[in-house]
Amino acid sequence: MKNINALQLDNVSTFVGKTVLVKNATFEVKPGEIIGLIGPNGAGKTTIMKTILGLMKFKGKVVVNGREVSENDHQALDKAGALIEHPAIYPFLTGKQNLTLYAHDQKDMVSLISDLQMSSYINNKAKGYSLGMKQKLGIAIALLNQPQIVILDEPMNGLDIESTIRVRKLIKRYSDQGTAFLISSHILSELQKVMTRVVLISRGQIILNKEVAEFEKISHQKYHLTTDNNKLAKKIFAAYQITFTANENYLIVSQKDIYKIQDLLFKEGIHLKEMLPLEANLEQIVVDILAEKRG
Amino acid sequence: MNTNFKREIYKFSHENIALYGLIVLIVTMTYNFFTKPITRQSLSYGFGTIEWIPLIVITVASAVFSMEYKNNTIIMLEYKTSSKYQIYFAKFWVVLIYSFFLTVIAFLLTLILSMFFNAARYDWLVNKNGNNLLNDLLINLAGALIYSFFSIGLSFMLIMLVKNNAVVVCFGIVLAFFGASFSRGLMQSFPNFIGTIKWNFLNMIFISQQLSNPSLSLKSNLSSVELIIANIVYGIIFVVWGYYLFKHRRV
Repeated sequence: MKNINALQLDNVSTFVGKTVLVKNATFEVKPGEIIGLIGPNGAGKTTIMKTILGLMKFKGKVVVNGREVSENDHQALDKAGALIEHPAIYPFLTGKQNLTLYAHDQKDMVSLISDLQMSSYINNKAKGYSLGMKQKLGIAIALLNQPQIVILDEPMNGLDIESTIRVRKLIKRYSDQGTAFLISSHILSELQKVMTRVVLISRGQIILNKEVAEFEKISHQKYHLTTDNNKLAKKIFAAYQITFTANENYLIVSQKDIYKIQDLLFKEGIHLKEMLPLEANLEQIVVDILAEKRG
Repeated sequence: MNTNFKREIYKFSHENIALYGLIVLIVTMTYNFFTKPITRQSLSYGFGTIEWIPLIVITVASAVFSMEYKNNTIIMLEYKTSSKYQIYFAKFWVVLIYSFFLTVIAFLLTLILSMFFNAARYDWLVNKNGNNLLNDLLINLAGALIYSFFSIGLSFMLIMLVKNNAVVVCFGIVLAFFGASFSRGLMQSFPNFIGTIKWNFLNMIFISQQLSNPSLSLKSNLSSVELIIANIVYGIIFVVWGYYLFKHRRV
């Protein structure tokens, strides 16, 4: 059988009027993959997700499970689930009725209620739910009917630790069964625990698309250094066009510039106090990449 | 379409607004019955029901759409449905069926109230001006139903245009209570343009009374047939316009 992608974006640009929100986005999600869609506020994460769901005007090609999605044709999304921005819940229905509205199979619904530990309140009207309860119900709706692709926008919003662990386990279980996920989250450390690939977006453009393992290698190509005069060191790096990112206490430089940096610092009489390879901290890597991109 | 229609029926049957609409209808009819003089005309108008049904329908129709945006469920509806056409018209049919249901309730309640509390005063089957009272009531309710079609179209179009439920409801109230007098005022102010002004959409409200009382054509300046056709045409224009706006509305 031909192994088709769960999702494929080819040169996708999204518009609102004449404003381009996403420019030429290209990436694919294979069955069972968990993609972390990362980027700063307003980068275009939710816009990409809405575009995939055929909710935005776009150019290019969005293909879900081998079928093309357009703004006017959502047939390809039959086996897709999503939670975008806030949980899509009718407050006048009970949690169970909200699920019944979309469930094809009662067994599937019952199993999700139990997996997410919603049994105690599932028969109450959703208008009385807390943020976390609503979020879990929204996730359950997205996971109904054994979807082939699930799009989750900030799924851990409002969840307590126990629920976060449950959701994480559920995502992993579905992924093992072949469901692909595209997840955005600001809690990168949480995302790091489940995702297999990272897609980094900034100002509407995909600037990085790598397997998590590869992404972690990037960090080892960076060095974290401290000198006795960081201020002067920064001036020297800038003068010699050495790329770096900095805060008050340290500088981060690329591995390829290490020898040049050591020479320069020695010549200028700056004492190198510490120089260590950067540890794989997703948040820091993202901050560095985005800072580098901004120049 | 079938799945969407079933979902809409399911949601609608659980929504309080559907029940509130029914309660408002029953309360206003009963209030009118007990507080206002019972005449042949008030019976044929179903104790004011012909004014209340379109107003309830406008309120319900706008709420049915606005709650999807308020609850963010429109995203779910849109991506789960192969085309927006199915969402829009499933809602349209549900509200139209609801207005038919209200009309049936209004008919039955008019009969019940008059039978139990006003037993022998008016005979429903005695002819007056060629029509018996039962016929007049049915014709007026049919007029209210056609006007409901117009009102649903208007409400759907307005909620897409102004995106504010309260504004749509206010517009409905103005239309129901002052529409006819505004329209008459316009025609009286510009008598040379009556031929054109008589087709204005405010004038369409006469349909709920004129069908059983053709002398009202002197006020509306439209024959009963013209009123029926104009209401339907306006209804279709509003529905299509509303759909166009819905199709292009970003979520």
